Formats: sequence, structure tokens, C-alpha cells
Amino acid sequence: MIFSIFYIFVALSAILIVTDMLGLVSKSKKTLFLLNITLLSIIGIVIAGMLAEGMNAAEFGLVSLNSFSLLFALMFTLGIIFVDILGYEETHYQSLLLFTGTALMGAFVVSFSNSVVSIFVGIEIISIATIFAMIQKKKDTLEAAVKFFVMSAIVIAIFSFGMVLFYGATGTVMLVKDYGMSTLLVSMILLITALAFEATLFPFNLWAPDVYQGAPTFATAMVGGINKKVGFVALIEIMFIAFVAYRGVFSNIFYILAVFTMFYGNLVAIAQKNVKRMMAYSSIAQAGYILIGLAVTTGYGIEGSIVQIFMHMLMFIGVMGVVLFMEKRNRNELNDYIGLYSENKLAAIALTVLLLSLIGMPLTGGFVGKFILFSSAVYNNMIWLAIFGIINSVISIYYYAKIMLNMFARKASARIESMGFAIGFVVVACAVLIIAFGIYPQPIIQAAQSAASYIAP
Amino acid sequence: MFAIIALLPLVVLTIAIALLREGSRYLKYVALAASVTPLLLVPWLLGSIGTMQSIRWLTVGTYTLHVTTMLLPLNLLLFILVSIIAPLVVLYANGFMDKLSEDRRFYIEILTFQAAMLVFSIAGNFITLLIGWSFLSITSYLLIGFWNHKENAPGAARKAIITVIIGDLSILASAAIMFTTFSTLNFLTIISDIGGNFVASGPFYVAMVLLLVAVLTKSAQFPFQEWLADAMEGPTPVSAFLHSSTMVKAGTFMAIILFPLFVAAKLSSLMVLFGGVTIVIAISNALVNKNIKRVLAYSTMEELALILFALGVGAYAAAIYFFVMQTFYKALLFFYAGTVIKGNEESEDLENVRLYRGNRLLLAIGLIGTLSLAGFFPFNGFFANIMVESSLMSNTLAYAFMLLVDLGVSFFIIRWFVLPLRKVKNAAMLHKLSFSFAMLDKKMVYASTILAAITLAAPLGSIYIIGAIKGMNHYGYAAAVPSSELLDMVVEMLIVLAGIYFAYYLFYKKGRRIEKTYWLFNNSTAFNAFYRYFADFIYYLGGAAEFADILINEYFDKIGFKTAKLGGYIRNIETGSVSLYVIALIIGLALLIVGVLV
Repeated sequence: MIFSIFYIFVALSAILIVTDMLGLVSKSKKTLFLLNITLLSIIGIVIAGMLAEGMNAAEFGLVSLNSFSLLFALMFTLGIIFVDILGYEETHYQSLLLFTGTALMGAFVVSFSNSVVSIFVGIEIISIATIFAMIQKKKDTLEAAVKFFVMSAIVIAIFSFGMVLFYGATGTVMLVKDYGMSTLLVSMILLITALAFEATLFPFNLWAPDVYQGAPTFATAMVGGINKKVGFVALIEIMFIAFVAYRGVFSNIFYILAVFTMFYGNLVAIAQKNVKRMMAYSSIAQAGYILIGLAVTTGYGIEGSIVQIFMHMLMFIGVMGVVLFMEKRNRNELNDYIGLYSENKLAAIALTVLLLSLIGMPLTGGFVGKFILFSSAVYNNMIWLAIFGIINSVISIYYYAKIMLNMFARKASARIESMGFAIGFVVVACAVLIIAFGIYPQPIIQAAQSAASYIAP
Repeated sequence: MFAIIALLPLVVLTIAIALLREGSRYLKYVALAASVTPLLLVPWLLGSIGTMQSIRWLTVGTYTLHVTTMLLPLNLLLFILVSIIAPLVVLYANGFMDKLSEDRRFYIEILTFQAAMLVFSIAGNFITLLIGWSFLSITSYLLIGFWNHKENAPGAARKAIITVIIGDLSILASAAIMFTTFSTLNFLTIISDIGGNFVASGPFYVAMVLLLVAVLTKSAQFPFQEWLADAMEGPTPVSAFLHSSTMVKAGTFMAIILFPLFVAAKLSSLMVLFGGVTIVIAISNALVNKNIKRVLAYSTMEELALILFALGVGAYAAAIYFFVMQTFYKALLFFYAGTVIKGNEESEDLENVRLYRGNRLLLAIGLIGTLSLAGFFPFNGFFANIMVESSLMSNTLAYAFMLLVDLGVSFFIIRWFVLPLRKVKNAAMLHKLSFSFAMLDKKMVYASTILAAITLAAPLGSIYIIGAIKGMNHYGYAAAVPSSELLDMVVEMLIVLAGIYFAYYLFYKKGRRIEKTYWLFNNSTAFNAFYRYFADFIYYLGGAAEFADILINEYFDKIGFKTAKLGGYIRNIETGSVSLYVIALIIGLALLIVGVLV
């Protein structure tokens, strides 16, 4: 039964890509948009159907359908739907749809993969699609795209080398549980490096602020929302299935990486004046929090990571929506946000909700994720990790609060501006979802629990 | 979660009101429709009496927190009670609130309060109780200080919220202790745990004392009683709704629902003590107060103390019966007081307001309410008083106390009633009075009339109330059927008549004023002074904390600056040149390899 649904899913994805390609030559933006969103929604529903249907793993070929992969496929679909709606006002919208669709395919390949090769292919697809999405005629976007391209190329090389060593040591590319060979360590490190690039962990994330700031805002939403999460998914899959024997080793590695990433992201964000760059650093710090869950290596920790991944995706895309709204009127600096409340109450309130969630205020989704992450660290006797996490949350309050305070200050010449339907929808939807899952997080926690129990029983 | 679903239309319409234009003239009708919906959905709830439903709210590791609702007969009773009073209050408020610009804020707050009270009434575990309780406190604060241009209103609101929040925190602490003691927060589970061989331990006593504190703060009992009198700064519909029939009774309702726990912790004597002291304080204040609404506030305080007192001596069923009956006549009296205030140009001074005696309907309404409170024969207050006293007949001291209380009650309420009924000497003033009473918004009168009819008919519903009380026996509550003695009925009527006669004679016929004994009976100022001393004491204690606070603040400021500067240094890593990024990547990789392999 699940196979037939999977074939439907593959057929729908193919139809999506073909539609987007045909759309390159179409004139009507609106029809293409509606068609795309409908197809994406149907794909999402099909995935949800598979999720409800097959809680047992089904593997065939290079595809593994289990609660973990299906959950992430669903999340990425939701994320791409939001990104597509967000980018509605861009020029060349048709090509944007193609690129985000392709990126979604890459994300699917990574989620459903059960071998290093498929992860490799998936990351290639999503990187190329992202690079194309970032290209626009302006100077900064081109610079961002080129930087991303160059660093991606280097990282893909490292990943390939790691893959080769993996094959050489184990004789297969499949991720099967519990390899125990000592030569695998170097392979593991190379793979971690490559995926840490994608997931923006410490010494490998220096590209992130430049690329996030330079890229067009919908592409930033995609890179920060989807690419980063794809990196984490791949990391979880590889580490916890193939390298489980080296639990102690990579737990230590992730511990150190997490601490450095959190501090780096939060400390440098304080000094930023450009809001988009500040958000880039904040997403680096959030990646650090997510890594705490991986460092803990228990099922509960992974559950926390999954919850925080979902919440961060919503938060980041929502904030990028507001940033896009302000960018259209050329207000990029912190000081330009003064008086946002008097200009557009909805945007200000939604942004407040999203920022409070990023801080980790209870009753918002961000709190739920952070709570599970820190408590998993404490349960596993990694108290210092939790303490560092909390210290970082406190540090982060500073720069989030700067935005909030500016928003509610009064400005002399405030004119009422409207967010436009597309951006408004995404921002409000993200804020509402964050509050809803903050008040009643049980569905997400449940789903994350079943996903984590597949990975780390 | 059927019971929560019954609240959905209310919540949806409240949100709809929030989206309406401010100052829309149809807002109040939407509010009226919203507040009627729970009443219309009650028949649907009748099917699930005696059930308990919970949903999982939050799972943390091995602990799961639930939001639980239970529909025991008592819960349904309170649900129906609130659902009846709320639309009447909103109808009354439709007539009473005359500034359209305040409407949206007012109705949102009143409807939120109604939703909170309904959630509280069906609470099945401490979490749901806390949700309802906290919303009650907040909306009460917002509504007391509603007319924030009035001089005393914000201060009164602050006093109320600070006192009530002590109770909120007490319940929170108590819930935490209960969770560790019983590993569940569910009421029925805890009550059945108590029923078996349960050894009360130290933490359990502490938890129950904290719950008692919460009851005392919410229901304005000694030593937390001063906020209720000042809460009369709010609009009269608010006083009728919150501070007479529903919110302040939330405390005593919690005492009723959790009564087996209080018995197990042997706190009955404390309840009797606090109840008795508050009765004395309340009656003494009510006898001499000169504000039309404050007399009613003190009378509410007395009635709540009576419920607590009855609970303490074990007259469980009598307390519940009194609880139900008091709701109606109290709200009715507040409605009446509101019309008198409106007819006298917002003056609340008992000695100066006058009821226009030509308005027979209002006179009748006031009379019904007053005689109910006093406990005159066929009105519901009579039966309520009888139930309570008959349970006490075995203890002569308590019985004599109750008779004195009844005398005092009928005395002060008749004083309260007849003072505005004195003749108006000046013909021009009489004319003005008749005019302003004729101009009263008819919705107020409709609401009052309906409520008066319900109050009159309430004794007929005794069967249902007693049935509900008996139904509680299945769930671990030992609720005996209340008794009533003929001798007691006779004695009660005599006492009430005595009180009526004395008050009528002194205040109506003779027109006496209370000046000389005012200082003796009015202890409200004394308590307020005591509150002030206590607050000053805490403030001085806080001086030491303030010193520490300043030190810590400076220290943290320095740390904050250093952190920000640190960020400024680290940012220089980002030079923008890709080669640097690649080098950093390679160095990281090399470090990892070295670190792992070595």
C-alpha cells in the first residue's frame, strides 16, 4: 500500500518539476502560482498520508520510508510552500518556482535516503538550485551566489572524499546500523565537515552571514529555512545510523561545535546593524541550539532537535517575511525599523511573536524546542551544555529586544503601509503556527518522538 | 472535551468583537448573543454528567501534563448558574454602559471573564483550575479599573490584583506539592487516593494550607478582605457579575469541590475561624457604611464567610444550597443599586440617593432582593438560612451566633433599603427624580425583572439542587441531605421581623443617622491602615534587597558591555574574502582530525 502511495508521490513531484519548467515560458504569474501551490499542497497531503499509513519502515532501493524521513519531507514541503508565497513579488517568478521546486526535490532525496550516495546527490541538487535562486542582476546577490558556489564546490569535494573513504572502509555505500571499523573515523570527520557547512556550524559557517545578507530575501528564507535543516537531517541520518558505534566521539565533537556555534552566533549578532545580517547570525546561533540535541545522542535529544528544527523553520521564514516587507521600501538597518508599529500593526505584532519565540519565551514554539533540548542535555549529565545554552538565550535577548524596542518607538512621519497579501499571509501564518504550537505542542512532540525513536531507539 | 466545546461560540464571538470597529453600536448585541450561547449549549452537556475528559497537553520526558475537565453534578450546577447570570448581566450592561467608545473593551473583558469562569467551573485538575483562576484574576483587575479616569479605580484594581495573585501563586505551589505527593494533578484521583488508607504528611498539610490561603484571598475573607469593598469602583454590572455572584465565589467553590482534601488535612476548624471572624467584620462594616455599593460588598463578604463557616462545621449540603441561592439575590440587589445610582446622577451616597417611589416595579424588585437577603419567608434566602441553621442546631453556641448574624443581616439590609425610600421634601427635586428614573434605559429594567422572577422561582428548583448534592456522593463526597427544622423556621422569621422592625423604625420613621457609633463599627479604615503598615514593613525589608539589586545591576551592566564589545571584536573574522573562509574550513577540518585521532 505504501509503495503505491510512494509512486503517486514520485509522479506528483515529476509533474511539479515539469509544470515549473513549462512555466518558464508562461505569461500568467497567477495561474502558475496557484498551480504550484496546489501541487505542493497535494504532495504534502500525500506525504501525510504515507506518514499516517506506514509507521513501519519500508525500504526499497535507495529510498527508505520511515517516520523520520516522512516527517521531514512534510516539513520541507511546508517550508517551500511558504517560500514560494513569499517570493511572489519577485521578478522572474517563474524561474523562482522552478528553483525552489528543485530544491524541494533535493530535500526529499536527502530525507528519504539510506545511503551516502543519495545524500550526496540530494545535497548537490539543493545546492545548485539554491545558487540559481540567488542570482539576480544586483551586485550583492551575485557576490552571494558566487561565494556560495565556490564554498559549495569545496565542500562537495570534501564530502566525496569522505564518501570514498566510507566505501573503502565498509565496502558499501548503504547506511546500515553499527559499523565498527576504526578507519571510518576520518571518513566520519570529513562527512561531518561537509554537512556542518550546510548546517552552519562553527568554523564552517563563516560564509553564512555574507551569503544570507547578499541573497534576495526569499532565497535567504530558503537557505536558512531549508538548506540548513537538510544539513541537519543528513547529519542525523549518517551519524546515528552508520556511525552509532562512535557515539562517544561525535558526541564530544558536537558538544564543542555546539558551544562555539552558539557563542559565535549570539556574540557577533549583538554588533550588527543590518537586520538581515543580524538574523543570519541568529540562525547560526539557533543551529547551535539544534546541535545540542545531536550532542546528547539520546532519542529525547533528537526529539528536541526535530522540534526545534520545525519551530526554527517557521520562525526564520516568518522573520524573513517581515524583512522582505521592509526591504521593499529600502529600510534595512535597525534604525529603519523605528515606528513599525504605527505603520503596520499586524507586521509589528507578528514580528514580536516571532522574536519572542526566538528568545524562547514560554507559550511560543521556540520555548518548547529549547525546553526539550536543554532538559535532554540535563538528563544526560551534560549540564554545562544546558547552561551554555541558557546563557546564550540570555545574550540573544539583547539583539532581539533591540528590534522590538525600535518597532514600538514612535516616529514622527509614520504612514500606514500594507504588507501585501503574499507576505502578510506568510508572516501571519508563521506567527499563528508558532503560538498554536506553543500553547498545544503535543502533536509536534508526538511526531518528533516517533521520528526520533526510529533513529535512536 | 465536550465541555470545552460548549465554550467555543463564546470564544469565537469574543474574538469577533475584538475585530469590530470600536464604537460600533451593535457591539453590545453581539456581546449579548455571545454570552447566551453557553446557556443554549447546556442541554448538550446534560448528557455527559459524571464524566471526566482530559487531553494531553505537554509531555516532558516521563511526565505528562493534562488539561482535564469534569462534569460532576456540582460542576454542571455552577456552569448553569454562570450561564444564567451572565446574559442577564450583559443585558443589564447594555443598558448601563452609556459610552459607546468603551463598549468594545468592556464586552471583551466581560466575555473573557465569563469564559474563564465557565472553564473554572468544569475544571478537573489543577492545571485547568489554574487557567480559569488566573484569567479570573486578570479580568477582575481589568474590570475593576475599567473607568481608569476615576480617582480611586486604579488603586482599587491594584489592591485587588495583588491580593488575588497571592492566591494564584499559592495554588501553583500547592499544585506542585500535590504533583510530587500524588504524582497526579487530577481531582478525582486525588480524592479517591485520600479515601483509602492515606497518611497525611507534612507536605500535604502545607499544600492544603496554601489552598486555604487561595480560598481566602479570592473570596475576600480575613485577613485578605479589604479588596472587595474597594472593588466597587468598577461599573455596577461588573460588581453584579464578578464581585457578588461569580468570581468571589470561585474561592468557596474550590473549597466545596476539594472539600474531602480539606477534611483530610483537618483544616475545618481554620475555616470556621476565618469564616466567623470575617462575618463579624463584614456585618460591622455593613451596618454603618454610607456607600450604596459598599454595603452590598460587605454583605457579599458576609455571605461568603457564611459558606466557609458552614463548610467548616460540616454542613456541606447547606453550604452548597446557600451558594446557589445567594447568587441570584445578590446579583439582583446590585442591579437594583445600579438603577438607583443611575437615577440619581451617578451618586452613590446612601444618605442622599432617593428612589422614585412612583416606580413600583423597581420598588418591588428591590423589595424581593432585600427580603431574600434578610431571609423572609417564601423568598429563597429564607430557605438558605434555614438549611444552614438547622445543621447547626446541635451546637448551641454556633446556633446563637447564627441567630445574631441573622439579626444583624436583616438590620443592615433593611437600613440599606429604606434609606433611599425616604420622602423627598423638595417638589422640584421630586420632579427631577421622576424624570431621571423615567429615563432609565429599559434594558436594565428588563434584566432586573427577569432576575427577580428567577429569584422568586429559585426555591422551586431546590429539588434539582438537592439532587445534584446527592449525586456527589458517588464521587467520594460525603454529602448528606440538608435538614430543616420547624422550630428553626419560626425562630428565623421572628428574628428577621425584629430586624426589619428596628431598622424601619430607626431609619425610616425616625430618620436617624449613624454618627456616634460609626467609629466603633467601621473597621475598614483600620484594616487598610494595617495593610499600609505591612506594605511599608516589606518595603523597608526590601531596602536591603534594593541595595543588593543596585550592586548586581552594576555588575551585570559591566558584563553586558564587555559581551557586546566581545561581539564587536569577533565580528572581524568575517572579512568577506572567500579564501579566508576556506582556510578556516580547512583549519577546522584539520583540528577535528587531529582531535579525534589523537
